[in-house]
Amino acid sequence: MQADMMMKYNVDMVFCIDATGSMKKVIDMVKDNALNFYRDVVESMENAPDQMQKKSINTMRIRVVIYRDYKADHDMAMMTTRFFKLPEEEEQFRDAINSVQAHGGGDEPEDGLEALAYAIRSDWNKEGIKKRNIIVVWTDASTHPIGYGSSDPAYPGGMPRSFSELTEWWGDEQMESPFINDNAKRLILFAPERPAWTDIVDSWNNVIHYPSVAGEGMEEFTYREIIDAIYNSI
Amino acid sequence: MNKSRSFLDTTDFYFVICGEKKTQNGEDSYYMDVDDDGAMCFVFDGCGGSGAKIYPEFGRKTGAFVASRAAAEAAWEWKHSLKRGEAEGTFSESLSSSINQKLAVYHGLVRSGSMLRSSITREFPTTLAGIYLRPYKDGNAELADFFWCGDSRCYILTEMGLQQISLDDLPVKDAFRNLKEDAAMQNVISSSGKYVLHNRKLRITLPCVFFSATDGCFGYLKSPMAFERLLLKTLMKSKSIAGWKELLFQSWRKIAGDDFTISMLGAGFGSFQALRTFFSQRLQYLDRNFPAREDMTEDELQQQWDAYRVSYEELCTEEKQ
Repeated sequence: MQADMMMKYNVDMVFCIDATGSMKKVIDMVKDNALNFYRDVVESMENAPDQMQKKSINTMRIRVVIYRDYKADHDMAMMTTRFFKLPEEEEQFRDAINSVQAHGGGDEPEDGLEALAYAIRSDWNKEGIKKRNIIVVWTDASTHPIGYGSSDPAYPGGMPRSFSELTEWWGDEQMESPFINDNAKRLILFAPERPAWTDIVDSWNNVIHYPSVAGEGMEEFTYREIIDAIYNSI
Repeated sequence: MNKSRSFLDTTDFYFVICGEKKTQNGEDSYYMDVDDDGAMCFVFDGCGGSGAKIYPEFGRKTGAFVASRAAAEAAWEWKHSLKRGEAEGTFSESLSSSINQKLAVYHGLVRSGSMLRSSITREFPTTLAGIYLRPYKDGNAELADFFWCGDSRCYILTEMGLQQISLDDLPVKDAFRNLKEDAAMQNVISSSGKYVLHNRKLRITLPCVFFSATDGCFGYLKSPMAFERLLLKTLMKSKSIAGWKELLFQSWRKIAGDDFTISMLGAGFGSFQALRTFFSQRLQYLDRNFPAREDMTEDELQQQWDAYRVSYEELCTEEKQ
């Protein structure tokens, strides 16, 4: 029977964390949530309580995108890591999360859309048959329009020129994304109900939005709903 | 005067297997009912991704859990409305209507909102695959209405091998590709009522095994050939229907990464021994032409599928009632 059996998931996650000054109050909570989040997804996929077989994970990788505001923070506005392979590189992943310091940011909107662009354009694992490509955003702020900070020398090349182009990067059932698999992708937003997060949840597929300051005050069963929506088919 | 035959005259066996991934939180359900007039073999798979919302009103169960059970209740009520001659319109219209009414009742009991905004979630989503069987005149055949919505499937198993009757409500209809893609369903029952319940009527010559199955039964195998092989190998290893049922359950328990439910009925074989004899040659054919090896490449598997699908998909088209 073994030769007929299936098939393991390759799971990649990108954690986008707003590390501006206004996040000071909640940054420790966000760090804890980020560290726990991957464990909870793994547990849901791997550890069915009654020995029933499960969605086994073949590979699990996580990268971290720390973002602020190009106009205010210049070359400290966007810090990205490579993908860490877990559990082998858990220590490096923990170090990356724990090193996040909340500061800067300038005005209230931040450059969350550029962080999303970085995340979407990640070097997703294309190997294997079944995949999950999960992006999680924690923030307490709205976003600048994309390209708002483009006059800053630190602003990267190759960013989308508009929200419409970023939407094309995400893709949908009709228009395949050049970067991320439509069946595999999930975007989880722990973000306030402000632009452009509300635009995203209204117009992008496979998005779950918990409207809040970076996920504050979430009840256990809402969290469970999010985890289940990630690992189950839809 | 000829008295039309009882459905039970040709029925050899029927059973349901239902396995839960999480004890008492399984999101599959079923409705099976067999009598002189015919049989109902229905399965339902509450959609755990889009129906992950937890309802305090329903013992903190998910929308998926509630939906599959509500739809099963609705199928039971539909059957009885058919018997009373009260079902209006086509079968798919009257069954949809019964499901919509039932889901509306559950929806009406909900007091809690969700904090989440999402393009993924639906209220009370479930798949359905079901077969309504009754005797075809006095001949050696059954009249079968197949119903489906989502990615649960209706099948028959005959001397032709395994044949899928339903057509997955997924972007791709290819059963082999769908094992690999994990795509979002394009059509699924929900309390919004915005779905299409497909229905296909066929006259099926006996002997035949009819079954409906949720994706936990076939979705964790490498190919549709592997699914047929699992059914037949377990049959050959068994000494009775009860033994076959147990072996199937244990096999899925090892393989499936999800709840699994199958509602199966065999007719026209005459005995368990005759059932085994009937399918022993088919299994030999399967092993000879579509052998399974650990080191099989994707290309080799694809070549096997290209040959196997000719018969497997022969009845797999969508028709209006």
